[in-house]
Amino acid sequence: MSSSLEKNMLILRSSDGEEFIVPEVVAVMSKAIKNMVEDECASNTIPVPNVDANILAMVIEFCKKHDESEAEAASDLKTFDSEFVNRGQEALYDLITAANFRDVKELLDALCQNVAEMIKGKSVHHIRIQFLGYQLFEILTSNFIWNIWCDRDFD
Amino acid sequence: MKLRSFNVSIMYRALRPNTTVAQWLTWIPHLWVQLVCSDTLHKEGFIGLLPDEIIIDILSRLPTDSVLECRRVCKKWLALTSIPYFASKRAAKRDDICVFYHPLTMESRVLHVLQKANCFLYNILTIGDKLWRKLDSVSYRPKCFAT
Repeated sequence: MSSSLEKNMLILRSSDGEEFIVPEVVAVMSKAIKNMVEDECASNTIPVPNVDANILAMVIEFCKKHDESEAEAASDLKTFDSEFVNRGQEALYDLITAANFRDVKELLDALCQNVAEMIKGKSVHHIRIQFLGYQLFEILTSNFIWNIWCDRDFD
Repeated sequence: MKLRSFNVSIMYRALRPNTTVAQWLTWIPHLWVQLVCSDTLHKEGFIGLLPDEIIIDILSRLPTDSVLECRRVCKKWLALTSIPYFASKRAAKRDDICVFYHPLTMESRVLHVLQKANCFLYNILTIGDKLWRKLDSVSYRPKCFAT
């Protein structure tokens, strides 16, 4: 009955059950979904496990923007990208996982570029503390105290 | 056995009566780190949780001096930045770098095209054998790493 309307719309269901209605052109920016659509193994509703509603909304926002502004200037898109990926570490992690899992190449590129710019020019200790979760205490003690212990003389 | 007796003698000398109490206590923090924090020393944060391929992707976007810094961060990153896949990925993103690869010795060399290209090709022709070939893309095999 409403097949003409739904022909180019897909419904994405996130892991916590929320549903997003997106045009097919936007959804197929993810290669995983594209494959599903091409093989016609999916009905109108496509489940997107491992990705919750917040993150899925962000990804869809990104894809929509990229789809709309293909004709626009590339610099505009670049500024949008850099603003879009400028988030906290947890959101970044979730986004990267989602983009990797759904195979959205543009988003993954933008995110990796952002993380690389965060790392760029930082020292080893800084990277360890900020990105790898080492504590300052561990770094100081592991080298610092042990060096004192080894260097002292026993007389 | 030799190492062990060495440690014991250090302990003994540290606990000798004519050392001060403060000196006795210096080994406690180290012991604490080794015993209690040893499993949390390598606990992984935001980037460490990502799959290896994405870490490689991120690291391959850095300039050379930052890559050298990142190689000192942890052993995993050192391993990830040592494989031909990393070099080829980096070379694909930057046009001033190309990678040469020796199929028999599994050796790879990164070359800054603008500066040393002629010199390197000269070396291949004179000293090295002719098996060196330019590396365009390498497949990524995660089996290389035991994590």
